[in-house]
Amino acid sequence: MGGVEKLDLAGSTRNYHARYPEMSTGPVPVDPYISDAYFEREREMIFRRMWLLAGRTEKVLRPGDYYVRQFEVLNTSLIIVRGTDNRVRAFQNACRHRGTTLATGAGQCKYFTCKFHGWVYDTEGKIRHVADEAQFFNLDKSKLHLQEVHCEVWKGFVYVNFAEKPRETLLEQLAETGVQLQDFPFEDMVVAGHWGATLKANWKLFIDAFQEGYHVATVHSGTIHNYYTGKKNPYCRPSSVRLYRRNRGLTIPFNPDFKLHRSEEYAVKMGEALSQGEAGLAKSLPGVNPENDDNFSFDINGMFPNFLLDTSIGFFFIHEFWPIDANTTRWEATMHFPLPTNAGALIGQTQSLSLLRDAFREDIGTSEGSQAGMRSGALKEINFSDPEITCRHQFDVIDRMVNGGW
Amino acid sequence: MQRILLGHVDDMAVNSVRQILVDGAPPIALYRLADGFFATADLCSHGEASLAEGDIEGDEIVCPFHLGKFDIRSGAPTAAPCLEAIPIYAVVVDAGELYIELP
Repeated sequence: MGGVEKLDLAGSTRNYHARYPEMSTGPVPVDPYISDAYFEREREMIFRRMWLLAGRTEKVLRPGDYYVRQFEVLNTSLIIVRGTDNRVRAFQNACRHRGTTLATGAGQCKYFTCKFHGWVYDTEGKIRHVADEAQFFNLDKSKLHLQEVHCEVWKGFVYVNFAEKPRETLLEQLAETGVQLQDFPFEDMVVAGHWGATLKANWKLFIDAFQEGYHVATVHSGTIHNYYTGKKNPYCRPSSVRLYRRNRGLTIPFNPDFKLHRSEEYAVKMGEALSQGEAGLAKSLPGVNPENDDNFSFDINGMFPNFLLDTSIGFFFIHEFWPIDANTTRWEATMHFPLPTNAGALIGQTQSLSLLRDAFREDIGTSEGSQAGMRSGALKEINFSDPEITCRHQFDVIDRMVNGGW
Repeated sequence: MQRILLGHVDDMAVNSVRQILVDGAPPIALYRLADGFFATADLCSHGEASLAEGDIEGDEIVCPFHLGKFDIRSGAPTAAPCLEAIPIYAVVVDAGELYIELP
């Protein structure tokens, strides 16, 4: 597929299952998208075991920098902090006295002081002060440091693992996708746009909204459809798909017949934009377009369990999907561009951010609609097409894990 | 009387504080304000904090543990939870060097 075998993206051939014939093709049950019991198993078998994304190190550049991360799925929050020894750690955000939340938001500090009774911890988690300590009974302060959670950093991505002993290393979990992206210049790009919403949709369902192109022609008919859909690819089929043990990847081609807006055409000459059209073909970055597809626009890298890392020749993009319950998801999206060095680049980036904002609103609307339909009981099964094989792959991997597989 | 060398006048910026450790004396917090040099005990009288890790606000040092405050010139507590004054030491400037004298 891809660089070896260019696909006909407008014909009737079913290309994707042909590459992965072991994948099933039948209907998929609705229950895992709406069931509280299934969600409980996801919580225990996946989120309590896997490495989970906990932000980027741009938020903790200096010793003492910290931020608080919510993990609703595990009913907890963590303090992510760079210690005075320059190491990034994650601590349970709970005072060892009576459990009070220690920190909120983000900031810079030398110590975390509990606002309830004034217990103090340093940025390496060590307890430093117990007010009126002599009044406690046999207090062993060596056991009262903040509770550390496994924390690793890969390419500036902070990951945590809540398991007592993780079953695999972060690099083992990142697997093929980690290798593919190991030289991508994440550190050369900064946050340019940030969006979020809490919506009435299952987390898997909302991930699906961003890992197939089938919806683009209809959902995004008012925004970005013709960047990607045209006579050569009317339904925005991926130009290649890669399915791994848990992660997955797909490559989205641009529509070669689409003419960029004049502002964007100018911006592409000056810097980066969401869709660079043919001008982008002259550029390259390590790790993108792994199968050397024609008309490359961007890759969607499904980072199990719950985030998508979209990479291209001028940006990377993070979608995080944090389940709150079976029917509710907190979603955060962050666009990273290189720092604009001239007005043209800034115009291009700003136009891209506006387009993305509008497209996301469209995605939220349809996904809440899908969830409502599933919850209504109107249907027991749903159907995925051949190009939606990435959605089916996610379903299969999660179902394998909630049923005890690894 | 013991005269202890703390450092050189040019070592400190205005509105800064640093901890000085010398043998035979408790840790000292040395301050440079706009109108001169001052020294207090470094240990907060409430918790076990080093005041030299705190921030200077006007004429006060803010403890990094509980945000209690002391007047840098007098050592008097000026904000809860600090209740007890901290020792202060006169800083002598002699040929560009900074000293305190301990009994």
